[in-house]
Parts: sequence; structure tokens; C-alpha cells
Amino acid sequence: MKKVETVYIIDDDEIAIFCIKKSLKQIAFCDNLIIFNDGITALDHFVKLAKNNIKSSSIIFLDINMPEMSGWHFLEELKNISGNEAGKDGIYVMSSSLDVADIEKVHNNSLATKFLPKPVTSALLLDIF
Amino acid sequence: MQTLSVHSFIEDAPTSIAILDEELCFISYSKHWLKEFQISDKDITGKLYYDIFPETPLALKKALQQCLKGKTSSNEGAKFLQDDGKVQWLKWKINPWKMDDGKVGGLVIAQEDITSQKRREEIFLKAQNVAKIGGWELDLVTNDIYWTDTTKEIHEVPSNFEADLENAITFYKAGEHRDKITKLVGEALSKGTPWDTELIIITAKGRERWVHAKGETEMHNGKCVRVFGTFQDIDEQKKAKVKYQAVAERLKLATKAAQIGIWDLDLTKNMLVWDDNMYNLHGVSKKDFSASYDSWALTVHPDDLAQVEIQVDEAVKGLKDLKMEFRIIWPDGSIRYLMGMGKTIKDANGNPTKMVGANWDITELKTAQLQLLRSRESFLGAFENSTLGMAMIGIDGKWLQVNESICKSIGYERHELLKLTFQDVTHPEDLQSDLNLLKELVSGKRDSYQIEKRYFHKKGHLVYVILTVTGVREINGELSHFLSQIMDITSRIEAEKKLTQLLEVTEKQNTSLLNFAHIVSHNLRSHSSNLSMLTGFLSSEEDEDEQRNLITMLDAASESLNETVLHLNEVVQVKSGALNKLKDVNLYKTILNVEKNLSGLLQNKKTKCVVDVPKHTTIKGIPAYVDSIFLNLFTNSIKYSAPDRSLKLVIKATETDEKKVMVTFSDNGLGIDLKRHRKKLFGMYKTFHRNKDAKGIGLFITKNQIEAMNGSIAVNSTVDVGTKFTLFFDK
Repeated sequence: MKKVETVYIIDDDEIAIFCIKKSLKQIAFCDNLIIFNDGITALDHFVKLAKNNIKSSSIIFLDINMPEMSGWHFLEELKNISGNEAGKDGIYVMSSSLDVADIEKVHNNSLATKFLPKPVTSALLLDIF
Repeated sequence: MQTLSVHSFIEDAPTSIAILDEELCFISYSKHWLKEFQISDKDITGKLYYDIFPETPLALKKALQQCLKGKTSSNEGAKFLQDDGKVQWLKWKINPWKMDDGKVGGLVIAQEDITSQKRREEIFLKAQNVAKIGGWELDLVTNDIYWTDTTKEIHEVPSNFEADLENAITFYKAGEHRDKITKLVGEALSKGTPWDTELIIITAKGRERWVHAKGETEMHNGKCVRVFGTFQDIDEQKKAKVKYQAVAERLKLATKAAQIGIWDLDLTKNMLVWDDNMYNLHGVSKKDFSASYDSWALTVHPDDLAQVEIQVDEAVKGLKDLKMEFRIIWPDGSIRYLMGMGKTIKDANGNPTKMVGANWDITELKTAQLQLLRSRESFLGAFENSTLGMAMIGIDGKWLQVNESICKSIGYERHELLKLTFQDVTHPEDLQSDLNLLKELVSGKRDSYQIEKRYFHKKGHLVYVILTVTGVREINGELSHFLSQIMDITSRIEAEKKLTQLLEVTEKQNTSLLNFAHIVSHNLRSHSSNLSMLTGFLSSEEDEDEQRNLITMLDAASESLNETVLHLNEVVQVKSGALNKLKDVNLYKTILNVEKNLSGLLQNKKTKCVVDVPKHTTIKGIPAYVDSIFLNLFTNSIKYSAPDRSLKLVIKATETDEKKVMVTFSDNGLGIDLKRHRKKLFGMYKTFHRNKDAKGIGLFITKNQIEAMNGSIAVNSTVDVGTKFTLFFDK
């Protein structure tokens, strides 16, 4: 079982966040779980980390459907942060719409690791860790 | 002579006889005398002859005088004209009687008035002459035949001709006629049977002549003792009759062949006589049907009876001859059309006594007529209602008849078009090829042709058509007119355009449907996945606090689901839009009303609002949608107003020339990063559950509402400067 130092969840859906948290608790534990309700706040945080050269192993759970900044927009912006380490152990893109186009997009995105259909169950997480 | 015995002898004599003295006074007379001359005196003894007969004709007076001188006078009958013009026939025999001394003592006179007898004879003779009736008698001893003058005249023999049985029979035409008379005479002689027959004789001059020969016999002790009879020239009547029979026979044959029924209605006895054809016409047999006016009336179709009875009545009254068409019903139920004609015959007083007429069956004619009418009607119906342009064109190129479609295609009123020829409206470049083909049609080389050609519309532009021309010929093969069918290809192109438009709309709707399906799957699924996760946790959670926490979340999740479903429902209602329900909506009033409703919020933001909309401008829309659209635009502007400056809204409306109304809605708010968001701006985004204002669904619904009213919406925005929505509505 692989262990990461930090897990980021970026999602505007509180219930979804709660569920992921609970599922994570069931299969593993991580030292640090950080939640963002929108992509902009998350980006701000990652920019800060890069600036301060704080590096840790981390994975990101990213929701596609968010207001103002969608998951895709977030990924584009993330690329632009020089020295970013966040999500280097995996960025998991989540969506409740089982849209083939979204899955395809995940495949083609260099940053995205895998598409996770919502709900994100502990069974799905077991494959990752 | 003056003895009593003589007197009484004379008195009772059966004839009219009288004895006069030399003074011509009556000495004695028979009772018969008084009766014969209708003398009213009871006794004329001693009275003068001339007193009793004051009108004695001169001849008789002379005779009387002569006889007094010793002569006798006898007259078998002489005709006398009296002073008053009366005719008198007298017959007399006068003898003088002599006294012992040999002197004439008076006259014995037997006298009879035979006027009535003579008159009968005269009439009889005249009648014989007029009727050309001769008499004859056969002497059975000598076989000589006595012929009267008329008989001789009929035979055209001289008056001295002496006929005998043999030559009399040879006058009859050899063959059937002679054989018949020989047989009849033979039977009369042997058995005493009379005869009465009509035969042909050949006269002495060689002429054929019809005669009516009658023979009577007198039998005595079983033996024929006398044969006599009459002989009448009936040539004229007979020939007329034979001729009539021939004509009648011909007529009968003709009527039978033509199946014309002849009837005869006796109006006084109400008796109807039918010939055989009449029975055939009514489909009844002679023995099953007793013809009378009433039984005939029963065969007439009930719908036609009233009309028929009026016609018959008018004919009986002599108002007009009978001529009518009517239907009858045969016993088998089939309906036949009859034509009936009749004439009323009146008696000397002008009262109608009978009606004679003819009926014939016109069912086939009628059926053909009806079929013709029907096919004509259906043709005319097809002609007039066809979406194809149709025209009947005369040989000279003139329009004889045109339908609505063709008028529409080339823009002329019907009456205008009928004044023109097809050449007048044909493009000159297309005329020759049309005329060439037409020539081939006229010459019979072809029955029809089809070309693509151009007409000039009344307004001057070209109309492209496919023309099909068919020649219509009379029964004798002569061309009567042309039938043109004109397919307007312009309308076909228009139809194609419409189809393309329809396709675009369908495509749009399809996209929108796909979009909608996507939304449904995403939005609903996000809630359902949350719910399933939460219930999963709840079932395995033992900690009570955690359970409570989960239940609170479950509540929130189900509330979100409910909200989403409500939104979707709203969207579906817009989608199943009602273009038909559009009405005129006043734009100015709508905007002012929305502004008023939001006045609190607007004041909060210190909004300056400029509404530059003409007061009378209306758009085609659904009032609730128009309200909702502007409500959304206002609230969006309020929500995304820039915090550092007070909100300014500018709303303008102008009518464009394409029957549209353009509305611009500008604010000076935060603006939208269109580079990033244009595609998603009007999409239904998964955002509503985080925002109470249902952000993300507003513009989506707005767009759908506008499109449901056949309008459109576009956006222009610069971040931190403002946003401008441009809307188009149908006028």
C-alpha cells in the first residue's frame, strides 16, 4: 500500500467531499487531508507552496463540474504554476456524469491520472492505494 | 152500279178505291181511302174530289177529264211537287164506268200515295250508288245471274252484259280469291250457308279491285231455291286498311325493335291498355299485372311520383303534351329510367277522353349521362383543386380555363389570364421549343409532351415550371383542345428551403435534447450517488453522533435532488414550448413592471436604470416568459455588479426591418470571461445546489424561453467593464 503525505480534495459538493473523506478513512489513512471548495482557492494554495518550495508527496481528487472554474480550467492553470509538486503522485478527475467525452479528456490530459466516476467508493480507492 | 152490294164491297176493299160520279163527286169509297189519304171527314159521300184533294196535280186532273170521256188512265207512280215544295208520289188507275145507255156515268179510281215508299227506294238507290253496293240474284234453273247496274259498274262491264255463274266466278282473281268464292258458292248451294267475305276481282278493264261479297240463300225442303246478295266496292277502304295494317305492322316492328311501349289510357273509364313492350319495360308479365293507372302509379319511384302526377294532370287538362322522365321500380327492386310522351285526345265538346302515348327505357342513356356528369365533376374538382397548375388551352393558344394554382404561379387574376395566350407569358427563348412540340402534338406524332420552361410572372420575374401538355381529341379524332399541367418548380425550391429550415430546427432541438439528456444524467446522478454513498455509510455506522450527522446530510442531499427535479421540470416546460400560444406583449410595460418588482434590490445597489424602449413596441411572446427573461437579466446584473461602482443599466429596443425587435441589455458589472465561458454561459451547469439564487440555471432557462418564442440571445462582455446581452424577438 502506497502512502502519500497529503491528499487534496477540490469539489464544490459538500456531501461528495464528506463521502470521499469517509471512504478514505475506511481504506487508508493519510497524514494530511486538505479540502478546497473551488479551484481558485486551491490554485492560490498551490502557488504559495511552489513559491515557498514546500514539497511533499500528494494526490488530488478533482471534480470537473464546478462554478466559475471548472476542473478542466483548473488543470490548465495548474500547468502554469512553475515548480508545482501538488498532485505529482496522481490527479484523479471525478464526475457524476458518466460522459464518455469526459473520460476521453482525462486520457488525453497530461496531468490527469485517472477518471473516477462518482460516487467515489472505498472499492475504487483501493485500486489507487 | 149503285147497288148496295157494290157499295159494301167497295167499302171494305183492302185498297184505297173510290167511285166518283160524272161531276167527280164521291159516290162510294173504301175505308182504306180515308186512311190512305188521312181524311178527317167521316163521310165524304157527295163531296167533290177536288175539295178533298185541293192539291191534285195537273196531270191527275187531266187524266180525270180524259177518263170522263171514256178513256182509262194508269200511273205506276209519278212524282209531284206541291206548291209548298212538298214531294208527293201518287200511283193511280182510273177506269170510267158506263151507264146502261153506254154513256160514262162516272169513274172508278184506285189511288195510292206512295211517297214514303218511293222516298225509301230513292234513298236506298242513292245509298247503293254512294256506297257502291250492287245487288245480284242467281237463277238456279238457267245459272244466269242478274246483276244490278252498280254491280256491273263494279265489274266494269257494259250495262248490257249478261252474267252467268261461270263468268261471274272467273272475275275473281285466280288463286286464293277464286278458290275461296268457288268453295263458298258451292257450300251455299249444297248446304244453304250464307257467305260474307272480302276478295279481289279483276274487272273487265283488268283492274284489281277489293269487293265485299255477301250471299244469302233461300232453302225449301232442304234444297236451295234462291241465291242472292250484295256486292260492294270496298277497294278504297280495303287498300287503306291494308296500307294501315302494313304501317301498323311496321310501327309494331319498329316499336318492338326499339322497345318502345305504347299505352292508351281511357280517361272516362280509367282503363289502361298496354302493348307487349310496356310489360317488358316494367319487367312484369302480362298475366301477372293488370294494367291500370293506379297499378302503374305504384311502379313509379316514390320520389318521382308527385312530379309525374303533376305532368299527367297538366297533360290531361291540355296545358301541354306529356313529356317526362321518371324512374320506375321493377318487381326485383332494380330502378329503371323511362321517358314518357303522350297526347290527350278530346271529344267534340273538348273534354279529354283518352291519352295515348309511348314510353321507352333510357336507363343506359341516363347512367351514361350520370357517369359523364360524375366524371366531369370529378375532373373539374381535380382541375380546380389541384396544386398543379392546370389549364385548358384552345388550338389558338388561348387559355380556355385555368385553375387557381396556375393563376397563383404566374400572378395573374383568372380573368386577366383568360384574355392572354400562353405565348404572351412564355419566355421568348422557350417559346420555339414549346411550339415545335405542340406542332407534333397537333399532327398526331405524339399524344403529350413535357418540357421545362419559363413563364413571366405578372410582376416581371421568371417562374420556372415543368409543363406537361396533352392533346384532347373529339370522338372523330379532331383535336379539340390541350390540357396543360404546370408544375411550379419555384415552389419546389421553396419547399426544399422549408425542409432545410425544418432540418435545422430539428438539429437544434436534437442538440438541445442531447444537452438536456446530459444534464439530466449528470445532475440527477450526482445526487443519487451522494444518496447511495450516505445510506451505505449509515448502514455500517455505529457511532450515534456520526449517524445523526449522516442523516442531516441525507436530508440535504434529498433536498438538493428535489430542487434539481423542480428545475428540470421547469426546463421541460419551456422545451415543450408553445409557438402557437404567442401573443402580442408590450415590451415597455413588461420592463417597467420587472424594474418595479426589483426596486428594493436595485436601490440597494444604487442602480441607475435607462429604459429606451418605444411605448408601443410589442413582440410576439408568452407573457410569463418575457417577464422571466427580464427578471433574470436584471437579477444577473445585480448579482454580478462591480462592488466598486454603482450599477448602471441601459435597456434599448429597436424594430428591425425583418419583422424583428432587437433589445440590448447592458450593465457595467463584473463582466464574464467569454474566452473561457462563452460555451457554457447558457448551458445548464451543475451549480444550483450551492447557490440559493440558482446560479447557472437562469441563463439556461432564459435562452430556452427565448428560443421557444422563436427569438435568440447573444452576449458580449468585457471583464470588469460590463456585459451586454442582445435579444431578438418576433415582431
